[in-house]
Amino acid sequence: MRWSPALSLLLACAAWPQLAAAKPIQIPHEEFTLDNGLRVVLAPDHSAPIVHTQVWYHVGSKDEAPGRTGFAHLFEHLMFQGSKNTPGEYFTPIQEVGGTLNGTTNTDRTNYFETVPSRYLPLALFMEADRMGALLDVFDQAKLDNQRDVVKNERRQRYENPPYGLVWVDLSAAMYPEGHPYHHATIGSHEDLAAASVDDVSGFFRTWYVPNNATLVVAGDFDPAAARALVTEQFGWIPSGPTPVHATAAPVHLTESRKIVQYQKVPDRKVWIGWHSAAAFQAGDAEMDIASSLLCDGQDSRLYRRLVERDQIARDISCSQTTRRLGGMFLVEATAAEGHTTDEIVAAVDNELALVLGDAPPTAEEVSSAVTSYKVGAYYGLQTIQGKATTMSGYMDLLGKPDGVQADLNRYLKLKPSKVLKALKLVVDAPRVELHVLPQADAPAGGAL
Amino acid sequence: MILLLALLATSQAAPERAMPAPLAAGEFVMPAEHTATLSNGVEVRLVENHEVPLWSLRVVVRAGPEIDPADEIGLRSVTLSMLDQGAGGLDAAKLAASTKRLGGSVGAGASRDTFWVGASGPTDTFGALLDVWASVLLHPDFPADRWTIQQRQLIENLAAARQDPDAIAGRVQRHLVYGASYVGRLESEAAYAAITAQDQRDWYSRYLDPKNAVILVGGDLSLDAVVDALNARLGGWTRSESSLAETTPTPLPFDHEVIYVVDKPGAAQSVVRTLLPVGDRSDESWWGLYLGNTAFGGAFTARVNMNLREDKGWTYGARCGVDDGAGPSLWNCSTNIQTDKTAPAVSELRREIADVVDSRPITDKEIAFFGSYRVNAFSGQYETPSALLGQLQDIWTYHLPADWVAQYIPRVSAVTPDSANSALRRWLQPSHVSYLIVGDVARIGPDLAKLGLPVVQLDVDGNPLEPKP
Repeated sequence: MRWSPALSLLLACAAWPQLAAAKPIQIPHEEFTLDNGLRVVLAPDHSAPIVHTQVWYHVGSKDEAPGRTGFAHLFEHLMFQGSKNTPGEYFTPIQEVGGTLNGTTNTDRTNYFETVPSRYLPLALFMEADRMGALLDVFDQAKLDNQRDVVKNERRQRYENPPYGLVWVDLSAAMYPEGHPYHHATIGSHEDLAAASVDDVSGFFRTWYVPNNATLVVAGDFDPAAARALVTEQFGWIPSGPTPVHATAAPVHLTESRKIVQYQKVPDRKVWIGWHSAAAFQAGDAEMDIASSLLCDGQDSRLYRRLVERDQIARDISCSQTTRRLGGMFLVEATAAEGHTTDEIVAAVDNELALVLGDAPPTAEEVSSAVTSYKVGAYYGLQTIQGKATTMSGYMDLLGKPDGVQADLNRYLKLKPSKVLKALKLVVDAPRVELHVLPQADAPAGGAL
Repeated sequence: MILLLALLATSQAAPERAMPAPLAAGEFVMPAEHTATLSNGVEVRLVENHEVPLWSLRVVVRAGPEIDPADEIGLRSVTLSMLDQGAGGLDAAKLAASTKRLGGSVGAGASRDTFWVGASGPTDTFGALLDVWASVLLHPDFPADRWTIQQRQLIENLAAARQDPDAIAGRVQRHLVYGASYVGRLESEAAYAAITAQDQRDWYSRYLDPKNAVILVGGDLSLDAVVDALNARLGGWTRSESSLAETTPTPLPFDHEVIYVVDKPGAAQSVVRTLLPVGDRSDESWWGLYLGNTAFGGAFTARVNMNLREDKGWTYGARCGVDDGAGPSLWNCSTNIQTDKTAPAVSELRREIADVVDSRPITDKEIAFFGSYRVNAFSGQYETPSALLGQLQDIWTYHLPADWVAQYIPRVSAVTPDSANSALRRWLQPSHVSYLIVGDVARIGPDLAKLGLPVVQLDVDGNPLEPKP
């Protein structure tokens, strides 16, 4: 959940230049669209006697109705509660044949996947098709109530109980204005989860869970002609629906920087500095991945050397470029070393960024090393049949075509230090949000907010 | 509501559809393992895979935390984490820059019973990355200034771990199961403060010995290339005469039911764990326990999760597992429960345990279902070399039978409802289970007290608190 690290990884993936020049990465596959609008990709891979299916619905928390935050994710849970022709738990028939399965939701999309022994491909397709076409026939209030409780407990476990767990929720709210699709985090609020009704479920299903708003990718050990016939048979009967209208938003530009200070039951002083950055596949997106890497990845990175090694005011520091459809976010996160403050950290980060943008720009070697990491990452992403299917699904979702690996990689391979520098300058010269989360002992006397 | 459901049903008239028949079974070929012995006597095991141009390699040494001095708990882990902080004349930043340039990684780590120094990366920089790896393995510098930084980080991380409910549970669990024996001795500020760079050098020269080592390699490489590359770099790494004694940790006796509680004021959920040492993998009943536990709590569709999550909605998930290592395995269930349902959840766990060994044993249907689950999942687990290498490491570390992996399907298939239930009855004695809870004592304490079990409150390091007057 949260924003999917898998998503940002695969968007950033690439292969290495020597090989790329000689032999572009191509994943053998075929692609077709059923009459009902379901787009299908088949990628045979006989390296193991398994198949992996990915069904992506192009709906995420960005598309939720006002007052229903968290609903896209709650709905994902309901998709595991049985459908007309397999009315029990979705897990049961899949686990019985040795399958593994799950689903994830982020701001932009919801995906469902299973790996099964290849002989059970018909079962996996039957199950996915049945919940795509016949979920509501057996849906009831008790299922909603049960999974609402489960999701509230997911929220407690992942966000409320761990120290700093709610930072992403607070950052989203601070970075995006009220009404923006990313203003609320995917997990939503207890209040909105409590308000979700059976009516909401049927409305959401009919609006978003139509075959013409979904993609099916099958990878693994199968005969493409047989698989094509199976997919057509299993999914062809599902009626299409009206084309759903996805949430849109113009890029956000903060008019001024904001500093938020929270006092919580936490052990350390931590700070997050967030800037708006380019959306997925827009100019500046790949550049910021590389900038993020040379600033924070490894003990030779700029911010690590400055804050952890030289000044010793931070215990750890990390950077990330979160790439999403409606906008990116570049984030620096650090923990203060004992006896030091988050204000010192922010000052040192600013100072080091000024150096990078001024006297000590990124070197060709720094950029090429960071690009190399992405190249190798691309191969790690294609190591397994599941990785292959997930990678292709990601490109289907964002680019509308499954074979984006090489095109994506090419964005990185041509990057020059000057372009990275320009993109970084554009991002960090703009206003930003600082979120300082401090132990309660730091609160000013008389009580803080 | 009734009206609404009727509407839904009529407007969604989906067809009746029959579940399709399976296709012919695909052929599973277990990846082959190739072995060789280096000129310094160290054994190498390779699992090839040429689908992507990547490889990984690690030298594994069989030695756990029993080799830590009593006043320097954590010395083993600390020394390993210092290996890449300066080696062969390169400082930490230069080492990091060279591995990054080569597209790979080099590092060291430890599990409870072994430690390793490893490298991974793309095939075309194998030799150059192996140079960095060999330098870290054979010529670490243990620079004092880097240790000062790491020492502070470790001490501050420890303070942070004492405020994280899951981290607290992990630390306290070790202490409760193993007491003052080496596995149960927890890292402390004092121990980290006592460790010096010289201690690390001494530890390194004593324990990084090829005598107790094996090298595991997977990926896009050939055995000849691996052996040549390793012989060229490890020629000077010679075995000592002395041999390291193997130690097996002994859990404390678990002979009565008790609830341990660590206070976490304001917690939204309670971390709930059951603890019980059971038999190990050399025990004939282990396979019955393995499959019986799968049905009891080892999968999403197993009893415990279906009850606490899918029926009650009190948790995001609940699982029980058998953790195997040197010495008796540990059976434990783990779940995070919303605060107001903590005592009811403990009651449900107690009831499930009591039922499975008495009135509601694992059924024929459950054994058939979960047997099919485990057996059918087998072939998907060896898609990458690392899965088989992990098994090979286990076989080597714990002296399991050489055909341990090959025996998996026949042994799981041979488990019957009788053998599973007799293993569960033998090991899961309800009156011997301990419950560890990290949660808001003010809110959960009164209900827990009503369960009729002894309740012992512990501090975040697992030491009993004096009862409040």
